[in-house]
Amino acid sequence: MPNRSNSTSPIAIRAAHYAAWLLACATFPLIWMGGLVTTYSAGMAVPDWPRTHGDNMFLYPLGSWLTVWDVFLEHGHRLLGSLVGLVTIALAALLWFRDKRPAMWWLAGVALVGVCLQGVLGGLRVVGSKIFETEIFWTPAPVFLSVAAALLVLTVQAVPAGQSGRRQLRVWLRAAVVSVLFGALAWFGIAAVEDRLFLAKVHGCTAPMFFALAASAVAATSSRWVGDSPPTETPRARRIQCLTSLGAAAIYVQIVLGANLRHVAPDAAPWWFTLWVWLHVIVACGIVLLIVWQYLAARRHAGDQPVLQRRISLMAGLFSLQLALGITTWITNYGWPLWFTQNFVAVEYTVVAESFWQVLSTTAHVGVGSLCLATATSAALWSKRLLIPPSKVLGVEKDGAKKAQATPRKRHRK
Amino acid sequence: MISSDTDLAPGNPRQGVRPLAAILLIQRAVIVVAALFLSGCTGAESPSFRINLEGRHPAEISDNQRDAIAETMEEFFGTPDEPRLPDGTGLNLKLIETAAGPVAGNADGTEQGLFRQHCAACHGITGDGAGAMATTFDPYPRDFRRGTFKYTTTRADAKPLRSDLRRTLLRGIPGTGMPSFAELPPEQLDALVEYVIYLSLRGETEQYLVQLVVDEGEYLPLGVDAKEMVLEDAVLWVAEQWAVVEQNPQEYVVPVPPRPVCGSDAERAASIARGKELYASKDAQCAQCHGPTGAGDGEDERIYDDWNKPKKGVTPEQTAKLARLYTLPLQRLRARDFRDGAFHGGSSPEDLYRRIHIGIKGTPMPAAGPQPGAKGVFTPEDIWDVVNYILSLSGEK
Repeated sequence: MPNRSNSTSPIAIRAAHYAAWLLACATFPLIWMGGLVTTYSAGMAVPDWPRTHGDNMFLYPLGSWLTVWDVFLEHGHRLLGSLVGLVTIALAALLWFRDKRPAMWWLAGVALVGVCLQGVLGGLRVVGSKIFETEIFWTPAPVFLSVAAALLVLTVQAVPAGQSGRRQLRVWLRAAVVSVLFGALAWFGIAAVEDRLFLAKVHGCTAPMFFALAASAVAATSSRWVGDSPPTETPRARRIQCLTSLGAAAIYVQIVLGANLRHVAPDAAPWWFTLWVWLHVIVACGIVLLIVWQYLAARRHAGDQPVLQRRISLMAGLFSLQLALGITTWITNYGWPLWFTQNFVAVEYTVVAESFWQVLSTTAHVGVGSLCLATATSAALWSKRLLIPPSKVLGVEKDGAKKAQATPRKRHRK
Repeated sequence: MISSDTDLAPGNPRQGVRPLAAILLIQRAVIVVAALFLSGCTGAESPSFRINLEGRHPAEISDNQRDAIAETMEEFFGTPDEPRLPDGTGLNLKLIETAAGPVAGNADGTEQGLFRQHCAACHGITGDGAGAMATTFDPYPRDFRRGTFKYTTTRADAKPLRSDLRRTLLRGIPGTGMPSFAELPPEQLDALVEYVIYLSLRGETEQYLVQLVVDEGEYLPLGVDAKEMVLEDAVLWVAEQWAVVEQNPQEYVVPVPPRPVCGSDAERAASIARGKELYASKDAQCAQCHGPTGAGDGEDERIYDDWNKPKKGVTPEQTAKLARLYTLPLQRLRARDFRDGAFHGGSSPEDLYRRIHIGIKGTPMPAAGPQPGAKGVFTPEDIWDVVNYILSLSGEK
């Protein structure tokens, strides 16, 4: 167990804040580089992992790295990813050992697990099919896992002989459910990692999440956040909090839809792509409404909170940019939309594969999408930190009293 | 769970931290659910070629027949990951292998899986023009399986030259989703051209095989003799059609005579007037699709690509039903509006000359120039007059 101090020192919080900023600043270009890797289909330029063309990743010759564009992108992406991993470890250590807030310990843990998971996902995306070629080994895996899970439940929750049959039945049923769940999960997991497109999608969807996590760490370690200033009682605090949280969730859904558009299977039926496009457009419209709504609500009811206002305004600006980038990405990749093709400009326009504008707009759309999510998450968090409904003060006291009463009962039952 | 009971106390610096973790957890739940749900449609790691059922009811073909067709096709042409070719086709298997398979890169910077990287999303793994993005475009991506290519320099009854396909790759098709691949190195363009021809050869062979097995009821499983027949009458015959054009360009490439120089405005006006008259003539029937003023608003609106059109002799209701069996829904073509001055097959006077002379293969745009054994509607001089007239509509000279 980490030796956690009783109080968070301001210097430690400051250090954690800088580390969080460093993490966010390193993650953002990493996302851009990942976007470039996909745009140029350079993911398989280095066919092994964690080594690079047989060499230790960190000792790969500079000459070989810098001379081939695709290798430069993929290997550079890996190196930058390693740097992000190191910064995450530093941040996690600071939060674990020097921050007294349990939520921050969780954040540190999630960040550490997240960065490892992301690295492994990226690696599996490259070597997945080679690893899982040995079907003889993997086919019985779900069965083993299923049986092991059942045995674990039976061992942990063992009912002494002579106890009621109903209790025994309950434990057996629980073991059966856990067994089936684990078996199914393992089967699905193995099926999923065999599919590179699936891995590419999850890899692409985890990156913005991690970036949002870094932005959360930046917010939660800022001096304003940890300062003593209490939240302001605001009549519509709940609504603003809901809207900002919903905005962040909607942007994330949009990112997942975008990943499906970007990693479309070459043999997918045509209507799949049309479906993703329409969903992407519909969710974009929904996000616009949400942003306008939260902007107006924050302006009307939280006008005295410049920190929150700035974030919501920034998100509105970024999302406007994102909309423009989305349209540009479509035009530079697929030409003008059908309804526009009668237009003179559209008739003359030729899409140029891997052109500067195509690469820039597509990758920027990925990067700014992540930035939107990070800003939206930050706005959602700050709305919780800065605002509180007028009745909340009493509510807490009541809840606190109830919980204080409930705790001894729980202990008594144990 | 995450924070203690006092976390929410006002004035406590920990206030509001609990939602932080809650939001992240919710988002993580969303990623898992959304990614799992949305990726239910992902394709297999090693996609396979799709059998050509265009215009046929799936029930027409039994499982045995499908298996026999698929097995024979694989024997001749391999799979999308491991292409193969019978001897004597004249195609470069090494180039085809570079374009085939999954996308991959090598330490020396060479790339593989070019077709899947650049083309399959629109043209489909099989080259049937029904890739995942196909319905997004107007017109639909080209179906390579018929061996018909719209913009060529060769006679209406001949296959295109490799350089024709390469030109389309380099230039792209303005106003459509077909991009220009001018940024790709020449060897990658060569590989893509070769792979397109491979898919075309494969597609035409499959058409022959489907007819043999389904329509003519060839005895199954296909014996050596039947396969030998497919090889001789389809694979090698089609390959010969491609080869003969490359070997005898002087016979198959339509020459473009120099454009007559119009020294004065009066001469140009006279040429345009002649062109207008020819355009409106009954023989040429240009106005039927392109309209009397060249605005693309002709009376005939039921124009389709050959690979995406209603079957003859069926009612509109039956057509609608049959359309569902086509890989893509029916899509009407739009005749060019000459006032735009932009043309899919190229906007130079020479390009326009070829379009009128050769026509646009696989579409209702006919070949109007002289062909072997046919006088044609227009002489070369007429064609230049019509070109001048068309260019005048957009203010070009």
